Amino acid sequence: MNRIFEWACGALAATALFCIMALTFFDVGGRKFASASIPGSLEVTELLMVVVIFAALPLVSIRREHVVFDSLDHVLSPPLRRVQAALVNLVCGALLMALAWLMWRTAGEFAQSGETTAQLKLLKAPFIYGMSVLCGLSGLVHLLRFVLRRPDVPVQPQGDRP
Amino acid sequence: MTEALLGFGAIFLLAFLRVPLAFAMGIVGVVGMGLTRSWPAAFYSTSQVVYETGFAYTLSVIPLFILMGNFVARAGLAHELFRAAYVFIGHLRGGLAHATIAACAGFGAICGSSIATAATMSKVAYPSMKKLGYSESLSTGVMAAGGTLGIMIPPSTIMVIYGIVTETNIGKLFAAGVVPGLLTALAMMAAVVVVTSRDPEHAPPGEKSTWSERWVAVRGIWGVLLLVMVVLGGIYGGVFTATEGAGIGASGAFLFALARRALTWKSLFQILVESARTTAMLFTLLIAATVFANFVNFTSMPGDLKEWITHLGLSPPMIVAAMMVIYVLLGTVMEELSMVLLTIPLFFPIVVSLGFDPVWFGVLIVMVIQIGLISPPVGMNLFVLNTLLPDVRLGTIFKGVWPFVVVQVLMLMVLVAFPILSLWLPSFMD
Repeated sequence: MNRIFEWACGALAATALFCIMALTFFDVGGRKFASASIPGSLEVTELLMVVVIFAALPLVSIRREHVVFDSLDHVLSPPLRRVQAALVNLVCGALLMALAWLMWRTAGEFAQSGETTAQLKLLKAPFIYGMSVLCGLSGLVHLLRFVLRRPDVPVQPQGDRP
Repeated sequence: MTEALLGFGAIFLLAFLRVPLAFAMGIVGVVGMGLTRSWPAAFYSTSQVVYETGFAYTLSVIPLFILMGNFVARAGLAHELFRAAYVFIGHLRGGLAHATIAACAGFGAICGSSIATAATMSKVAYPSMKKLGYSESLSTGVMAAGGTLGIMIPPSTIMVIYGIVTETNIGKLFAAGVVPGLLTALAMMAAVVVVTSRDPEHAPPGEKSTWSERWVAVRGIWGVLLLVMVVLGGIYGGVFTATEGAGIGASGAFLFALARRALTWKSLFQILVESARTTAMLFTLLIAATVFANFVNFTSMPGDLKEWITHLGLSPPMIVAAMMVIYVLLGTVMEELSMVLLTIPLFFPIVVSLGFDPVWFGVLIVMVIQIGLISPPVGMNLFVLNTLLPDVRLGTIFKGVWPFVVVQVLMLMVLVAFPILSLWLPSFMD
């Protein structure tokens, strides 16, 4: 279950990112060398950016890659740290759920007004609904961890931090 | 003023309780705005920030440059860069350390991340240094410090984020980083000379290479050179914007990795997902910092602070110097990007109102981050090396990195004193 979820989010984000790359390449190449750009490539990139960011958000939560200040970890006793981790998961989960609700509301407004992108006339609302759902799923990751009391082992943040 | 101070206090409290910094900033920003203005206004402006940061074409520059660095790392080009540096300077005393710094500078021209640069070098340069009997402290110190060149030498994730937050031209920021980056590399090499002359047996020289070996090594890096020239040259020359350059760079790096048969479906997927994760992590910080900045800007704090500082009657350079001292001290204990994102709403308006160039201030910010990344006790580069090289103790890394911290602090002073070093190259871009 967990694996399928991670794979699905990863596949979504990876595909969108690859498309942004290819789109920019052909758009810029076309404009500089053939004086023909891809119509609407800017707005498609914008929509794809939303997919990249929000599809990868649950993965950041799953892998505990959010930046934390962990200098006090060695001061606290392990039981205290477990309580702390549970509370932090509750806070993060609640915040992401609240954000999901907020974006759902925003999406509703967009759906009602039927706002589209300027050139290709693509509806924006579905993407904002997607933002909301993926925020909610990220919140769920934290809430599940809170409920299951999964020990939140402090891991060294990996990956490409600046 | 009081509201904003309470806000900062609350963020630090939450951060100390181990709430991720992005969440701490977000919570305080929304609650602060809800209490000082109104809740509907707080919700509206938050959803607006999320929406605008998500749907932003120019921000695609972030994942694209991250992707470019990850493809190039995957293609194994770091080995060739290190080899090319080694054949020229490896026979000097401390030659491998010098070569590591040079390779970091070269890698920094494709990769915009300090941690990725240090991590890559730990796989490429460390085995060679260990084989030749370099001391653990020198070799890890040099990799940690060299890695920070990744964010000064363009492209640079930090410069992109600074440029977005402060609406400063990213192309100019990139150009501004070139001279300081190269000078820092030279200063680090000078530090290696000092360290090795005091303790020569810890850094034995390598073998001298023949010119034909050198030629072969240089031919191995033509691809990197081409990519750097096209991307950075294109941005500098105004052929394309930073975002377009990032797209070309990422595509070029992808084709390069493909041509070298370094990619499988699995590794391609991994690289894309890893880049997307880093992007999501950075955007969470960016969104939260904007929400918090909106709250701070609504309070009287930025204005009060500006007034207070003018009241002090310090000369403008003194004020900037004082900011740098605050940053270097904060950087020893704080995560650097969050430190900058938190303080920019306060410091940046002051710097601009004093008549300083935002591009120059951006370079100074990168330099303080470089220092923060390698200054104990909380330096991310040191932790990353500690994780990747488990047999080296953290204390040993701390010991080895000190000379480089000193060098970077000196470099910061030089950059504060001589803005021309940062502003000369961008001055041709108007």
